Amino acid sequence: MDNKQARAFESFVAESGDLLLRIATLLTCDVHIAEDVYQETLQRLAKRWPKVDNPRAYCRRAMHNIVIDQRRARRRRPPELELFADYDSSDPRAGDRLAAVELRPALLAALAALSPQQRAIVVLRYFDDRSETETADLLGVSVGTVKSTASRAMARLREQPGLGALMATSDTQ
Amino acid sequence: MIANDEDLLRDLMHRATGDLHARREITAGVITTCRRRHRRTRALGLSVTGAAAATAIAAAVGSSAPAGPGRTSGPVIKLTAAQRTLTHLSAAAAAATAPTGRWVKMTELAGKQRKITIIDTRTGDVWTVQPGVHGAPRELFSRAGLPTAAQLAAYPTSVPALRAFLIRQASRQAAETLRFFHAQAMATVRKHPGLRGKKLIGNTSQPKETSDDTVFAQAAYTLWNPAISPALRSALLKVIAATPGVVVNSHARDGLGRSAVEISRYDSAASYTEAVYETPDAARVLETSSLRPATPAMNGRPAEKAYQLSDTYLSIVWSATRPSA
Repeated sequence: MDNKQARAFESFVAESGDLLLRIATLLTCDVHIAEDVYQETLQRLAKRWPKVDNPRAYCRRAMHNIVIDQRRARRRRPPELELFADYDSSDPRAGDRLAAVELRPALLAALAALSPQQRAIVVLRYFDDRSETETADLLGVSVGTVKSTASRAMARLREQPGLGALMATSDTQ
Repeated sequence: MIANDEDLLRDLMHRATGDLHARREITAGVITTCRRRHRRTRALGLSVTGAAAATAIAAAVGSSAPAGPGRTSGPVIKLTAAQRTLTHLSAAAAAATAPTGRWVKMTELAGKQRKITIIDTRTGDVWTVQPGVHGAPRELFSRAGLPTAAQLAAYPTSVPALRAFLIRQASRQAAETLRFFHAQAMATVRKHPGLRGKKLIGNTSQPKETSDDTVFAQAAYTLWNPAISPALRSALLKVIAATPGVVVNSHARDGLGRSAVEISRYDSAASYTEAVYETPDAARVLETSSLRPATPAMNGRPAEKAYQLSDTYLSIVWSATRPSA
């Protein structure tokens, strides 16, 4: 990567980095793992930077693949909780304005109930505002699969009482 | 106006992540790494080594065992060679000295990240200390995350019984993982009794593995646990030897260049190769890794490079009292 390419790369990351990290957080349901995924995604992008036509699309696809890879590879470890994290203290209906740190545990716990593909489709469709066609192209699946998977994912999310409470709170604001 | 569920979810996702910002030093680090020339990725190196090892074993044994009528080539010969090495390893493991002490402190490299795992073998509790955001130490805890010493001692050690046990254990672990996520959701709504009793999570979709895939994965994951007895380690290696598709490279090296016996198997359902690097005397595991091989472009999907995630164990120390992290 020469200086000109490095500047273009830095410019892209400055513009899109926060959004990519947030997508990674929603895909992994863990802020710390998300940062690892974000870094791995940038490394993959940097290696192919001169050849990548659409860096945003490349990053979304790469993040999805990395999350799938990590889910498989991390099976040997037991599920871990953040020590000293106070999950009980987040009352979704407390206060007029809910801070991100209060909302996040419940939202991520609900998203964790989805399969990686369902999560990727929900995040791309409703967080990243990608169309069904764009989402299908990014994930290498058909538009029909995107529609049916999104529908099943929403149905499963509606069954999550944590998310149900948050949605009710959000709707009344 | 009442928004639909999709709009509410969109709003929640933006609000719940709005405070997250990417660190600029990550970008600088990536550019620096990318500029290093002649840097070979371990993932590609390992895939080549694995292929070479499989070819070498097949060639060496194949030259003395010509294929005849009704006899398949390649895989059967490869498995026989693997079985011989694994049987030898199993005997060596059975003769090893059992570890003593209640606590285990493991220093590991997870990729490039150094972390410390402390296991209480009496309760199965696991503490992990690793670098977190902005370099601050991050401590994780898993209550009864691993089998206790007493539970491990109750594992069967005959091959058929252990194989059946590992299959049952896999389905039990899947259910426990599901319960873990239930617990998180329930904690969030503890103050809303009206929501109790509702269905929380449906069945999660699991990859469709064969029983051989499950047995190898479970055996490999169990070998990782330093608290297993020599007898159980020996039995696990026998179970692996009886599992089709296992490839053994007895002249491998782990990520740190240490001599090791590489035991691997390709899981076709998940398109992954799981590998365990044992010490040549089968006393302990040096490294565990998962490798997804490179895939060519097909059906509109672009080609994917090989990807590897590994845990390399630097040291394992036993003690009678809880060690400090």
